[in-house]
Amino acid sequence: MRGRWTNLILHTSASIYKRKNNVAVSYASRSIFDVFAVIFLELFLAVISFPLYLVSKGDSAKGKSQYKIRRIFTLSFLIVILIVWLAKLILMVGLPLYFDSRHFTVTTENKATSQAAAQSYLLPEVYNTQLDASISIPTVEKISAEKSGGLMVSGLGKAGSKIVVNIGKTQNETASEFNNIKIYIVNADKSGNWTLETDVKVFNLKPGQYWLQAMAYDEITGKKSDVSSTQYFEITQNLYDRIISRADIYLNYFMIAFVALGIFSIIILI
Amino acid sequence: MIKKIMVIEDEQILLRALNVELLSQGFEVLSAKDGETGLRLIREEEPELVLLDLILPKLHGFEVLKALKSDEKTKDIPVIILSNLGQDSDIKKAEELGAAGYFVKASTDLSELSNKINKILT
Repeated sequence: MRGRWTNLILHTSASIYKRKNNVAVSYASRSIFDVFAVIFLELFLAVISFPLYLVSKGDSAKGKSQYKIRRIFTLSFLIVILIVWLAKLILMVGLPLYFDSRHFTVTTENKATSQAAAQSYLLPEVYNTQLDASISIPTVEKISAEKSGGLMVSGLGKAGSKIVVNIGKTQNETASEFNNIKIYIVNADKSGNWTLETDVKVFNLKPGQYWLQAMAYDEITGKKSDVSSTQYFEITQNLYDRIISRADIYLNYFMIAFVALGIFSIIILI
Repeated sequence: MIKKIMVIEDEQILLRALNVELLSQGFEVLSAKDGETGLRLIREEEPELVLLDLILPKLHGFEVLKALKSDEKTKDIPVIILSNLGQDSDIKKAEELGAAGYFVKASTDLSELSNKINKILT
């Protein structure tokens, strides 16, 4: 095992020497390839030779050598990567366990909803059915965020009916622009309670303003209720959410800068 | 009696790796990072064998070999070359200067090197 390890170090060192010589004599893309090959091999050698630093050597180097600087730099780079990714893991996993990921505000506006405008977003099979005023309009009791990024909506409607829920994102504060409409159908139970839980993959809650409408559809009679009033809700990010959502970006930028610095340092030492 | 081996190698990582390998085989290891220091230590310590790189700072490996073989005190110390240079001309020159063996780093297995060292020292 030790023999294979020391052989690997020997051969990697030899490969680095060969590639460095190639950089001096090769052209264009070949030269660039050799540079990156040297960088990769240096990093690899730094990793596999790390245990050697734990072995006390007879003669200690006096003064600085470019190899010592390069090895220390590449090792430091690897350690920083590990620390950064560990910090990221802690932020991504730990914080959501303790803090709510989404802050909600819900406002309800009893706007006179245009029947035609609202129906244009309903399913065709429901759209073509007759309106029945005796079917109670569903009410929305609660809108809340799931920590996974999905949405939970619950309310009351006609027992045993299907509740059709439209959810969309508004660009403005009024519901004059409808885009990215999502249509959900859930069943109201014997007591008329219904709950909608959206899949995070389908409806990932990003900060912004949303609107919601619901209507009931009775499969037995084949008739529908009127559309509920439009409810508006807003998703905002709290401080921890901003940290978590941006931590990945900030840390990646930091690592890019660090890698660039490392590559620059290694190149000037070749 | 523990046999002394002098390793002259400017690549620090490789020097450490060779030290680990030779120490594990029961040798006492002396090391130097350049030709001049290596030559001086060889004259002072008189090791049983020298493992010599060719591309060295301050004094080239061939110059070290030449100096060793022209010194009465050190001419009988076997010298094994361990180098990145693998041209036939380099191997031939090393043989002409009296090297006991020549190993190219890229294609050498350290077990072969160990076998050669043990063969020379027994």
